[in-house]
Parts: sequence; structure tokens; C-alpha cells
Amino acid sequence: MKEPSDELNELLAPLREVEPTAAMRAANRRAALEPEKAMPWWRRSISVPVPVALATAAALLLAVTLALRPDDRVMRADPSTTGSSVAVAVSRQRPTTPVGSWSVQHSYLGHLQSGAPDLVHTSPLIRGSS
Amino acid sequence: MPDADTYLAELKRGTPAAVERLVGEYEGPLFRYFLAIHGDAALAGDQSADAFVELVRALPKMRGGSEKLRGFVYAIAKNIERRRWRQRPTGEHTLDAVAATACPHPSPERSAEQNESLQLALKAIQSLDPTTRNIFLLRFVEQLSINEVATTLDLAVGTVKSRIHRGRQELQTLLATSEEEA
Repeated sequence: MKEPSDELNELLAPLREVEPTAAMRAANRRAALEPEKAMPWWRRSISVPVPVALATAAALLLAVTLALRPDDRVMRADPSTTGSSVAVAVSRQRPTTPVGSWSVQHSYLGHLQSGAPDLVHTSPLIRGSS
Repeated sequence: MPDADTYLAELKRGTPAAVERLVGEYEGPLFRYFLAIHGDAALAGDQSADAFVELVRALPKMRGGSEKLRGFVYAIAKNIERRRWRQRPTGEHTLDAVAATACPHPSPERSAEQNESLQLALKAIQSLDPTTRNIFLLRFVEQLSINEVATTLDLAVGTVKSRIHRGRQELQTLLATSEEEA
């Protein structure tokens, strides 16, 4: 009569005989001896000095903050133009200090006369003299 | 064990000879470990290669002496298995191919018989829960002692023994069922 261990050994014996193929063995050696080359590029890693990593992270954070900061210029459609509306970037907040404020103007000359002082370049020198 | 400790030190330094020795020692067990889980020979081959990549990278950080090496290897293998969804089997190596490796020039009858018994062995071991399956693999396939199995899998000796007892009963039931079906 067979012992339970013998029966188990017999059952699992085919698994014991299984070995990787020659191609698999070669791949294993390649992987172990040149681990970086064996990996796909998106799983490879490089070592970076901590200060460089910190500086890069800080620069990235700053860039993202600047990019996501609410813009102080608004895009406004010009109501006086006929046909397609022209978007005009207008400076909404005027600085309190006498600094030259500039805005991009894409409108017809007539629009300036019809009362849109926001769109006109106002230099502090001009404002001070008037 | 000064020799084993020197070997481990060389492995941690990445000495090619030591790495070759590691591959030679563990490529069979790792391949069988992965194959026993899912039965896909191509995937098991890819996973073995991945396990060696991880091993070589992780070995310098390994804690403990040479007695912990086998446990470390299987812990890495377990992690690789957890990430199985990342693997893309190449389909180059079928179960027939690995069965043929065991016996390089089998007759067609022998080959079919061999494949059938391998399928049965895989079915049996896959029917066990993961912990019991690992215990069975190390005890009955890799032929380690119960103490070595316990150390490798970081389990108590009593747990290993009770799992073997329970797993044996499960497998006997499975065998009886398959014999009835046959």
C-alpha cells in the first residue's frame, strides 16, 4: 500500500521534472547580468543627486503654480463690432502705483470714440498731467 | 557558513560569477513556482526573467545573512506574481515545450503521457490556496525540509505541518474524483 507522501510525490513528480527552455535560460542570464537592458524603457530608472531632484521638483511646482494662477486679463467680446466678434484682452485691474498699463487693442477706431476708456493706453505721465 | 556569506557578499556587489550561480540555482525553482500558479509556460519564463532583474537590483538592500536568501528570492517572486497584469506572454514556450525539456527525445506516446501527468500535477497544485500551494511546491517539488519551508515562507513549523496535512486531504479528494472520472 502506498504511503500518502508517496502518492503526493508521484502526483507532483512531473512538475519536478519541468525545467525552463534554453531560450528562457539565456533570457534569465541576460536579465540578471544586465538588468537595465532587460527592462522596457518605461520601467528603467536613473539615479539623480538629491539637490538636482529637489531643484527640478521646485521648478516644476513653480511653473505649474504660475500656469494655474488666475489671469488678471479677461477676454471680452467687443459689442460695437459688426460681423464676427473680436475678442479683446483688457486689463481689468489698474495698478495703484504709477506704472504704465498696456493692453492689446483689436478694435475699430470708432469704438474708441464710443467710450471704451479701458482699451486706450494710459500712461501714468499722461494721467498725471491731465 | 563563511562560504555562503562570501557568496552573498559577492551577490550584493553584483559579481558576475555570483550572479550566474544565483541564476543557475533558482531559475528552475522560480520557473516551476510561476508555472504552478497559472500553468502558462511563456508567462512563467517572462516572470522568471523579471524576478532576476528585481533580485539583482534589490539584493544590495537585502537584510540578514545567507540563510535569508531563499526567502528573499521567493518574496521577490511573490511580488512579481502580484504584478502579473503587466506581463505580456510571448507565446513562444508552450507547456509541451517545457515538458519536452524534461525528456529531450520522447516518443509521441511518452510525450502525450508526460503532458497529461503534468497537466494533472498542475491542476492538483492549482486547486490549493496560495499559502498551501507554496508550501507544497517547496516541500514536494523542491524537496526542502519542513524547517526550510517554514524559514523560506516565514511561517511557523506547526503552520507548515498543518497546511501539509490539510492540503494532502484536499489532493486525495481531487485524485479520487479524477480517478472516478477516468
